[in-house]
Amino acid sequence: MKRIISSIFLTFVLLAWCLVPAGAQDSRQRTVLTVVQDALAQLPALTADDLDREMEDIAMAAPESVEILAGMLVPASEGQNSPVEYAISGLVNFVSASGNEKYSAPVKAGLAAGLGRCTDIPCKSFLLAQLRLLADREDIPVFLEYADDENLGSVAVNALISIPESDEAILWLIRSEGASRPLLAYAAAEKGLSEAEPYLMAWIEELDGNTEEDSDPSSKADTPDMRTYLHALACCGGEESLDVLRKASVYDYITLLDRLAGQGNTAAAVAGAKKLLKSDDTYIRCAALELLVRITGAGADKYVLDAVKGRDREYRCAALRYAAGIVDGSAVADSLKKIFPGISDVSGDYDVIISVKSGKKDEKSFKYPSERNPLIVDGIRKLFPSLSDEARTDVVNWAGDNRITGLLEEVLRCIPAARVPDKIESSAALSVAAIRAAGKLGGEYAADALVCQLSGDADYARVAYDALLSFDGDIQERLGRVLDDGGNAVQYALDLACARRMTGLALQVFSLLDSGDSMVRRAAYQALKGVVTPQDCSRLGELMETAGSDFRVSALQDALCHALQSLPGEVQYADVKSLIEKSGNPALYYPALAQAGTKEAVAFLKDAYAEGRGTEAAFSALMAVGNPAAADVLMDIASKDAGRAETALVRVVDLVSGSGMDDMSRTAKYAAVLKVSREAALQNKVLDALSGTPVMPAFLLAARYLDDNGTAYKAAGAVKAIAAKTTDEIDYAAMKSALEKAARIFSAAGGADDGYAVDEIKKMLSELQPPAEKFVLPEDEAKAGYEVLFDGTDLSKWTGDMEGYTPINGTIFVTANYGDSRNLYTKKEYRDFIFRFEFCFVKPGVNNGVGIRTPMGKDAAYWGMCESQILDHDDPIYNGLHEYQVHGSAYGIIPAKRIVHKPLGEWNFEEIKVVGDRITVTLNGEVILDGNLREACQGHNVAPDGSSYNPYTVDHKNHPGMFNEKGHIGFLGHGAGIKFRNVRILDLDK
Amino acid sequence: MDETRRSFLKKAGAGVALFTILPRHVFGAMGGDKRYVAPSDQLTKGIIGVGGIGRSSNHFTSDRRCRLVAICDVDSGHLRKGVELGRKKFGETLKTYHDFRDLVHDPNVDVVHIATPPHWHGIMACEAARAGKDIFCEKPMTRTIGESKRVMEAVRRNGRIFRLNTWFRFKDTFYGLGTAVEPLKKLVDSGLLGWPLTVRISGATGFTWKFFWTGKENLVPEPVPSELDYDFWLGPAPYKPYNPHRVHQTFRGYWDYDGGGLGDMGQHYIDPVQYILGKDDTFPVKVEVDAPQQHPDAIGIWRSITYTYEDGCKIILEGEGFESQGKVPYIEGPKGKVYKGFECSIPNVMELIAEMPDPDPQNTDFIDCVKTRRKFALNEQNGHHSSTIVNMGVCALRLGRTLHFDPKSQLFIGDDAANRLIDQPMRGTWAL
Repeated sequence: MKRIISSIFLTFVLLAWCLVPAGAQDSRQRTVLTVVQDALAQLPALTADDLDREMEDIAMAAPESVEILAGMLVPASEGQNSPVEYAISGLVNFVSASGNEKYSAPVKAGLAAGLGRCTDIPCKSFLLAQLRLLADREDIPVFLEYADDENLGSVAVNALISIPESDEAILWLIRSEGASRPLLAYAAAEKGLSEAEPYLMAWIEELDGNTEEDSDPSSKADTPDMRTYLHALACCGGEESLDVLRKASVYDYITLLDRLAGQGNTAAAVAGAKKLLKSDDTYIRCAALELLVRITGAGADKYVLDAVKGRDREYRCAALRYAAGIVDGSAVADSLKKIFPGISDVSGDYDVIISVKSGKKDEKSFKYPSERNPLIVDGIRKLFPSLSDEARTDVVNWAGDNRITGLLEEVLRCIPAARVPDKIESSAALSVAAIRAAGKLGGEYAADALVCQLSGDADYARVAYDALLSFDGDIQERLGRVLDDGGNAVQYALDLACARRMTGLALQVFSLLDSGDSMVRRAAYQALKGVVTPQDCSRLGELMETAGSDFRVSALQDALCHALQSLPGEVQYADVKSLIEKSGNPALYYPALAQAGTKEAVAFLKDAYAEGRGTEAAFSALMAVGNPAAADVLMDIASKDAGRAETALVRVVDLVSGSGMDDMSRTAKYAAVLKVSREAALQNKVLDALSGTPVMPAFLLAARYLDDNGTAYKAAGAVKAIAAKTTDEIDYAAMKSALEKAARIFSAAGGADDGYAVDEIKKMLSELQPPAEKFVLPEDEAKAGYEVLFDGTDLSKWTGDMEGYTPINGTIFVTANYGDSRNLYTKKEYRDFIFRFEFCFVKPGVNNGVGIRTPMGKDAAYWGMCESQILDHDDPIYNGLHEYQVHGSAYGIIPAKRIVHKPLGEWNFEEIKVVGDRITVTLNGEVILDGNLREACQGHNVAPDGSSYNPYTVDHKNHPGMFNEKGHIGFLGHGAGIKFRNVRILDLDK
Repeated sequence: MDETRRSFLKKAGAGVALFTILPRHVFGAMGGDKRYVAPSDQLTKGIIGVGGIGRSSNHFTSDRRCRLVAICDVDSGHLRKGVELGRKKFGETLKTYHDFRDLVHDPNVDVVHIATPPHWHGIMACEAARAGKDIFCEKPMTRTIGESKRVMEAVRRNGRIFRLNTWFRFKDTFYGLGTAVEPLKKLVDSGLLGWPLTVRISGATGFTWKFFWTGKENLVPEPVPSELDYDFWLGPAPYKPYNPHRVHQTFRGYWDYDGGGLGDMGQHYIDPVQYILGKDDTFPVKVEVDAPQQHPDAIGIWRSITYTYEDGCKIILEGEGFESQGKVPYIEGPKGKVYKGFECSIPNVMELIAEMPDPDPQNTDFIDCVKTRRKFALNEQNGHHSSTIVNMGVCALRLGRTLHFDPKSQLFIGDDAANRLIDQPMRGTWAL
């Protein structure tokens, strides 16, 4: 049968193949081969849209196109298949997307035909795996063809498994042994084929080598084949297979029980599972119980309760976990009614504490689906008194983790200090578990118990305190009573009031500052900061003036900061200032000034430091200021006071790195710190910070620290980070040597992450492009008499901002800060010329220009003949651009044709030809401007009436230099982000 | 390999009828409670995979609470180094295994630590669960959606304790974000940011996607080194001729074994977000990708991956080099934003959240969880969820298109090809 199916299929493929006339052309008159080649040239596609476009062309030319593609696969061992692999997998992705179903049949036919012709096993395997993603019933024959192939059978059978309607085909393979048995068993298992059962039984018996009825199939069990058969039997079999599996493999036996249950045969499943509950092995009992709970739901409560009673902790906890899915919380109310007779609302969500999180009754925690069964919780509650301490602990943990409020009563009874009836003697583990569980269960009673526990045994009080930190409910009133009553719990109550910002308890905390108990006094001072509000400032000020001890002062300073911190900086400064004016000791308020952090505050502290009004306090305050303005003050202090230098500089680095200044400015500050820093710790800190400023100077700075053992590792990190992120041009030799050093440093360090770093650096090194050879004029230009103005290394024919324009890696790299306008000029002056150069944008939004016949140092757009604009005009920042500002325009005089530049990082070729008043600009071979300036403004380069409004120019400005006889040519910088190369000129006056 | 699984069985003798489970009681104390009891309540563990993280100082540990007794690797060179390290570090002679099943069924092993490449995690974790072992599994949990689901089921069914090894939902500064996760959770729970929220995991918010984990195309076959059992290393993965870049330190660059930087870091970064958003029991309903076309074997880079939940919450992953510019919030809601270092658009936010209760305490001591049988903070269940989010992204990347996901059925909606990536073919007779 297989042969027949295959040959029918092959005929179909051949027919389909013939339908496409060889050499057919698409709508763009391309041959199929050209379509394929065109697509290959575009792959891998950069975006999904690009891919779709290319793939649609191929799909439309399928199957021929696909077969051509598949035919391009060479043996995998040659390692050249990647473009074709991109094409085929891209095509499969395209065709499998919704909406493209119409291409599916021809593409699959092409893949199948390609598969037939391909002879390399890895390539065939690739094609089969791709076809699998698209396959449906019609493709079954293709996979059948390969099912018994030693190398491809696994892929083919797996593909059959993926096809929804392949049961018959797989069964046919099983009957005819059309593939290896283990593979077929696997397929049967994945598909759950009941009909495979007798075959699997036979295979097991055969492998077992013993046909006696009570034979033990496990004698050969430990072969992969036997494991596979048994697993398959579990997934395919019926009741007849139970016996075999029970003896051979319990786990597969359980799988089969599960299967039977799924088929509705719950009786067999339940009977089997119950027997397994007697197993010696915990995890088998677990699996059996899990099955029982899943099949019978609350009907399994007896077994769950047995497990809870039993001695096996693993089994007990597993049972509780299964039961969590079927418990009912409505039993809560009854239980609470019993111990707290006052309760009236018993409808399932009892009177909970108002949730702090949601601001309303927390419905989520207390509402349960009504179909859940209360029996298990009831049962556990009845069992509870007779349970071992360990079992109680597990139950209590479970109740907390799963919010089983029905067990709240039991939980509370295990809390040592809770005031509830029928207290239970608890071990330490149980007490702790109960306190934590109560915290999670929440509600009025839990809150009471936990607050009670605060005054109990110290260890448990600490646990209760932790539970109250995460307790979802308002506990302020209860803590207020604790503060009133006094006792052991007061300190915890103070800590809680502080941690949870209970401003309503401020008065009580203030009054406890005078407590007779020194520990309470201390705790009250510490708690102040959490309860105060801006209204408390003057009181805090008064207390500070008379506080006496350092501890009190610092607690009050903290509290004052907290009281003020919700106010804007200026208000804080004003408030503190007025306190200072009343004070005999202004230094007390320096921390609050530091928090205010305004310029005035920094200035105040600076003066205080300089004038010796609490030098130490002022310095500490300056160190705490968050305002980057403090960095300069601290730099200054560092330069004058060696003793404080390192400390101050550490803070400077933090302030600078958090300042939001641009990369260049931060780098400059870091450089200043490094200049005065001698200690490795500080240098390393700066090097870490330099990792975040990916600019060239930072790279060169960090590279200097690669050779010192104390800083090498951090320097290597900085060098790597900057090299990975920077868009600056960094000198090839410097980059290469620094990266190689960094790789050696990481390699020597040897940690796991260092291995990653070495890989990363190796990748960067492999991608590093050595600078191009020096530029040499092409033959025709040499003949014509062009002169090289920049050959990649030498700027000697130029003058002007030689710092902002430097030769790096064969280009003129603009390092001037973005927004600076500094220019580079030819030393010579020119009249008529052809000026040729290449440029490339390295970041979006770049603005530059070429000055024509311009004087130096004056704006070429007006004082030169003109400025030919260089501008990344498609960047969104230029949305409102005038047309006379687009790239190539004689700025303000004649607009150029708006073109699209090559992408960032790619080179554009430009020619500017100037003869008389005529200027012609050609970009990437296209003339974008060709006009006569004199004609454009009808001879009026300046307004005839002498005013500043010139009606004759497009920008209505005067261009006094327009008719210059000659002048320099200049690159007119507006900042970094552009590179120039291969600059040459033909002087037409020669 | 000092003991094959087969000879092991022979020693166990005719009494062992239940081969798949190799009960440890046979070797332990006979009679009474038959569970093997290690001396002084000390747990024992075995590590599978000791070439990379498995031999790192964090995991190659042995102490009073948990003693390392066995290691397993299909590279004999790794095993040799492991044995040396064991001798040097703890003065122990570790048992060595070649076949992980032998380690899993070793009755002296209580906890199985899985530190292999991810294409093995599913099979090994299920085998361990079925053998009654507790499991410590390195991230990512698995490399397909189907596999982590099966792990979850097996762990639950056999009453096991499972820990997935990433930890930011309960401790440590969350990578470059410069804050721990707890205050973020508190802030989100407080509702101060509003709802729905967008979380951006990006270089701009302090996370790197490690794009150096890309594969190489056009790998030329090379001879397999004698110490490596390459066929076993591949295991369930499709057969591809050996090249050193496929294995050991660089396997993450290939779809057959992992998911590149997304596979490596995804669960580290996304699992805490599931926790912060309170979505541990659900999945996003949509995943969109913006990426260059992916090679079918070698993993490439991507620009962004965006997950959307049913309620409108989003997680946006931004690839290295494609980060949003300017000041970018980590979490953004209709009422507020929070940035790196817990900088927040809401004034005085630390004070405001101090009023809120802390998040529920979590169980973060794995050994204690094993002993008291409580679920670990990051377990088979929430682990399956965050693992699946990573793998949804993998599926969308590989297919290069937007996918819709049904959190109930855990299948993609209306996309057969995507669903064929949920359970990927296993080679030979490996199965789950």
